[in-house]
Amino acid sequence: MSELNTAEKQLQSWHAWLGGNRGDRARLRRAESPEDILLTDAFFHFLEKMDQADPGWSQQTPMLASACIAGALSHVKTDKQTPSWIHNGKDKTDAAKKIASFAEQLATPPEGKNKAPMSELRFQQLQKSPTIDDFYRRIIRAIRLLDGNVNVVSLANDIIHWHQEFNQPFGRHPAKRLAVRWATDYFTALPKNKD
Amino acid sequence: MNLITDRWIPVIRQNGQTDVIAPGQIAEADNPVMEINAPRPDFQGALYQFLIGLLQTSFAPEDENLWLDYWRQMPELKELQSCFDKMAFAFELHSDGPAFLQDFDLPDGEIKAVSALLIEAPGGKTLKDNLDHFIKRDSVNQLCPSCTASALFTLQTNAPSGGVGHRVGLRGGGPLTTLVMPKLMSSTLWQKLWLNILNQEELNSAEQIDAQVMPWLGKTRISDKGQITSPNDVHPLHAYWGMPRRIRLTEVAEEGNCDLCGCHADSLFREYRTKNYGTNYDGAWLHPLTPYRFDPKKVNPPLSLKGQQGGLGYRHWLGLALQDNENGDKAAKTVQFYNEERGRKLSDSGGAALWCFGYDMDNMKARCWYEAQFPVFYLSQQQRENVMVCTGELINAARETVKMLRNEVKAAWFRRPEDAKGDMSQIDAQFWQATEADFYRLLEQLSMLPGDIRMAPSEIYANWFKTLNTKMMQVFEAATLTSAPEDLDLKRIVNARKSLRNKFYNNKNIKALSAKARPEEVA
Repeated sequence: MSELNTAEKQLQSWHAWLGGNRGDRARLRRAESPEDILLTDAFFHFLEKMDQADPGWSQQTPMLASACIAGALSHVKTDKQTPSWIHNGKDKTDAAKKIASFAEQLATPPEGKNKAPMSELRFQQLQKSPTIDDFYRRIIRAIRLLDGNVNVVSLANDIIHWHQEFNQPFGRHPAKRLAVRWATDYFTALPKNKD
Repeated sequence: MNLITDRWIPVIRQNGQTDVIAPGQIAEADNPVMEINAPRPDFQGALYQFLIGLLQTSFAPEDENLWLDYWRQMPELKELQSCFDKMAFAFELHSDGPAFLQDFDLPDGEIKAVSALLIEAPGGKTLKDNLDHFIKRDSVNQLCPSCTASALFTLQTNAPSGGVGHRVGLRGGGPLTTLVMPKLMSSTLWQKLWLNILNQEELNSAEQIDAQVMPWLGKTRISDKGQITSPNDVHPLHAYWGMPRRIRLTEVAEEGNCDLCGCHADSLFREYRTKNYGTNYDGAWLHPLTPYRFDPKKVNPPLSLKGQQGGLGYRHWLGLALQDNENGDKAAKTVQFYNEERGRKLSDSGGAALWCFGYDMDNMKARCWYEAQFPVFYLSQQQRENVMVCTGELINAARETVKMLRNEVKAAWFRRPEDAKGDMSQIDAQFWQATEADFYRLLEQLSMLPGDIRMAPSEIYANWFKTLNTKMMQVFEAATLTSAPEDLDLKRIVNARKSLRNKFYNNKNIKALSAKARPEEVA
């Protein structure tokens, strides 16, 4: 299964296209599970775009994972690319290289506030999603909690990763598990992080 | 049975066949003896020490040249046997007169089952309280003379404290023994033994075999009023023949199978008599085959190194093979002698390794038997000092790392880690094991450096820094995250991991290590 490296631009441009096609976007937004998305025009357009960037992409990625990405993107308002402070350290003078991941965004308070957008309890629920539909619902909720300002590439990658682990046994290195990676980013960025 | 003239030592010969030999037969040139084939690992170590003791007592070479001659060419069978035969009178296993490692006269005494000669056997109180859960009573009831002799030597040389007045061995209870072993697979038993024999310039020989050397030839130096036996009271060779326990075996003329080795024997041993207040060894004893820890202030006598929980690893290498300035550990005399003298002459014959073994004793309880092989290198004086300094730094940094690792794994596992009890040594063991191969690789590089380069190259430090860092994280993740992460308290684990990383980078020793890992800037 491919990671979204070459397809990054396509993903962003499809998201922009969605902004100009309100009808398609509304249909996607109404979907309650990835299955509802499979037969929409917008989803065909999405697969077509992705295959242009990375031939065979739609063959390699599970259909429901693609649908989940398309559905999630319909809820995203802006592709928010901010420098990550957990990876770049405190000095802001250097040109930041790493961009804040989706999980970090979930724990980083919006400006002027000091509470994480997603509470620890909700985060733990998201982590423990038992089915594809539960996961989809919780991901949409997470995007809403962020006011639709999400790192699109990171989100899409994590969705693929989640489905990958859902279908296959876990790898040997626990640190590469999505749950661990998310927890690392989330709890590192979480304000007042003490038990 | 006489332990010199009778055949009782189980061995393997060059063609792979097993055999039972008398001690003198180690010098047989035809199909020579390659290895001892004892039924238990502690007997294996004991039989080695028994044979080394025999050679050192009766056949020690006058000087190093003579030693070298015998290293190249083993002695004539007759020559060795006639030397051994002179001591045969002292090596009766069962007799009315003096008997091997048994009390000179012990008319009365507590009767004990022969299994009590075995170190791990459950003691009296354990049996009374029905606590023999792991090593059961009555699994060994009768022993053949060969196993009895091995068991007797094993007990007398490793003797742990055994209740009031049951004295500990000459090196303390459960000492480590380090033997230098040739690396070449084709080495004969003769060579393996001979490498641990000191010449007479290093260790005086005895003019005659008497109670000064072998304590069972005279009245026991009892200690019921606290009398001690220090090195000045007896001959230095006494160290090989220490006899802290007063024991007298009772032989039964009845044939049967030995419960340990399964061999058939014409007579068996079931019981022995024993009494407390045997020889109380005290003072600055230094056994030539055992490493000691020296008091830096030179107030207390040196202490022999013991087996410890967690076993033997490369963290002990410095103390066992050279000298660990951090805690005063110093290699055994034979090992030092190999390092300084013999290594140079033998470097072309494949080098040597250090075989290290001993019990981990908790007072009377045997917790574990440990055994390990370590590399030894021949180094010049200057090289030796450099290697000592550098490996000392590496090992110290690893010790610091393992401490942090253990604490943070605990913090990840428990809500209140300071209250959590339990044995965390498995984490230590995992870390030591994970880093071992890298350590020896770097050690080999260090030993190749010429002596006039004082500072070890920065790559070695950089390599070690990287090893410590990655292995620490790997062990941490394996210990905390291997079950399904979704079900764990990830917050606690993530916080512990973060603090582990912080502590690692801010540790003084690690900082010193990473400072040396940077190549010196060219001015």
